[in-house]
Amino acid sequence: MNSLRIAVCIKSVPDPRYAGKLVFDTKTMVLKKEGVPRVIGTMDLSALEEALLLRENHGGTVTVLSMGSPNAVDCLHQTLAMGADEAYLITHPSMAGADTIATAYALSCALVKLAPFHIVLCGAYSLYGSTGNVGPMLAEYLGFRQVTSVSRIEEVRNDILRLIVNIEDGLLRVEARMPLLITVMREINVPRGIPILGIVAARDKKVVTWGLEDIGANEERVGARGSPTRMVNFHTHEVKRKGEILKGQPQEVAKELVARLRKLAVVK
Amino acid sequence: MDFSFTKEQNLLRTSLKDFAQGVVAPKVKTMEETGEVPWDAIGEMGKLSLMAINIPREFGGAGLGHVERVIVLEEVSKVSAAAAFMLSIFHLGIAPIVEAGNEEQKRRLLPRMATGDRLGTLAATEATGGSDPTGIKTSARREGGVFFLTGRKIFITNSHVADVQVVTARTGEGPKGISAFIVEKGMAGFKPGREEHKFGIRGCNTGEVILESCEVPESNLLGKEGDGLKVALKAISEFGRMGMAACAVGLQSACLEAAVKYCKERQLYGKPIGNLQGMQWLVSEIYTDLEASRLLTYRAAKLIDEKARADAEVSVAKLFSTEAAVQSAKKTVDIHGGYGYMMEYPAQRFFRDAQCLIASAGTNEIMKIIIARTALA
Repeated sequence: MNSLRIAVCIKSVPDPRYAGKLVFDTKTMVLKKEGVPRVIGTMDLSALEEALLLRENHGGTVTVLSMGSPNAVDCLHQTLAMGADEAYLITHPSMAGADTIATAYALSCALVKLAPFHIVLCGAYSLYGSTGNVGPMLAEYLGFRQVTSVSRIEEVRNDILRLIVNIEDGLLRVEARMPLLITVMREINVPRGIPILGIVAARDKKVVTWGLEDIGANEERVGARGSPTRMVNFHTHEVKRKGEILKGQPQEVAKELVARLRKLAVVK
Repeated sequence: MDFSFTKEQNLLRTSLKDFAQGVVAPKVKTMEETGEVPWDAIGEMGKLSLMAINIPREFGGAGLGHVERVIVLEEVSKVSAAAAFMLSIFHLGIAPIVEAGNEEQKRRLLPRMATGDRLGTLAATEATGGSDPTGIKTSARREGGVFFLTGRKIFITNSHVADVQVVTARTGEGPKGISAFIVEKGMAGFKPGREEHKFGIRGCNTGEVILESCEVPESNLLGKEGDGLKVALKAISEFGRMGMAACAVGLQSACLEAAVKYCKERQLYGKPIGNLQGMQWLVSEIYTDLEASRLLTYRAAKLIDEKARADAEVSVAKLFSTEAAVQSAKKTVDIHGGYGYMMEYPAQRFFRDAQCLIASAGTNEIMKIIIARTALA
């Protein structure tokens, strides 16, 4: 198949390198992110890279979308510098507090406006919520087939993709027909950097901002109002080490250590 | 006076932070231990077009300015002053071709230098001419359509790595008797000589360049005969000195980060040593010098971008930032106490790397002469 129309959904998240500066407000149940730089989600970056590779190999266009606050525009600008053809920010005050279903709904409205697409790519999950829900929910809203946790796109032949999927105890080879939504794992590729020539080329591209009316979304189905799930509790889980000290002669201690590790099935 | 960066400059900084952390940082240990040039990192620099930053767009470059160049070098230097130094000199080798090259030279050389496919340097210094660039003895004898260059250049960064070297040589007597030539790898009579073993900036190659009746076609003369000193000094001032200032700013940032980290982690008398006034004074001095270095360096870069005469400002930035880098590196070692002397901690690398910046692109004594010339005019 020539000339694929590919969409990538990304999320602007707090930079994990500054995770120590994040504060969870237990009264409002909101993660306070002020002052922490924002970056594209790790697996979303892999999704974008995979889209760019598909375009390089098969031709077509790459359109990036993100639903979020206005400050997500910088991340979208970055995707243009990395090579995306178009970028859309879906934002409106009513979209604040969205859970995964409200997020997927808003994104689906935008994708329908921009349709058709052959492939929609998402990261398998974000490092913050880690639900992995948005991709599958989006596929359902769009009526697309979906394959999740993909670690390699092996082949694109006409309108069929052959994919490698990570499952619990191995890998699965799957063939699926377009239109298709794929969620990708981090190991699918090593995302390219932001080339300086790309930054300069991005001057001719613009992030388009769309609100509620632009995407034709129902206000009752976005944001907190459209979210059937709610954060009700938050606590940190302390991970403590057992901290056992083995005493004795080095050779005896080594034997004992190996025996314990074998018992725990850490070594064979 | 607006001290903020543009969105594009901030995006550039993001790109370079990711590059420095993801590509350069893993190479630092090997560079330190072996002194080997990190070829794969150079390849990645090419993919991101880091060499292309100041090359005009019509020759495959980004057409960006000196402020953007300082951002690039600052971010790389935060992780490795050696990698930033090397990149800075790639730019230095490109600059004279952009400034003084004719259309044929630019079209032939710049696109491949923009991608990093061909790497550059500037070879001016000799045993008889460093701080005094007119003291060089390398000769260029013209016969027909060819110049034969004979001489030896020393302390040349990227001597064994560069494919394209801008070389100064004498075509006549006196300061106006110096010409600049584009010497390319593979030209008969051109070879790298002895490679130097430095106590810092390791992994960035420095060495001799030997010219034994090296045959350079007259199509590789840069500018006119006699333009060499002007061509070389402009490049050294705008690219060499600014490059050292930018490397010094990045290195000072690394010093501050390491010093703060240690002050927060190391406990004495039951508290982090950052609670002690003695440590606070040292940290505040490093912080203040970094802020001043950064302002001076970006201001000088902005002046060059505005095509203003900025010899003094560039010299001030280079002088202050590099001296501050040496002082801050020492303070960082001091903050670490005995650990500051140990190879496992980065403070010793900062200490060794900083000193190299002082004598590069013109010693700081020369910077003072340039500054005094403006002050006393």
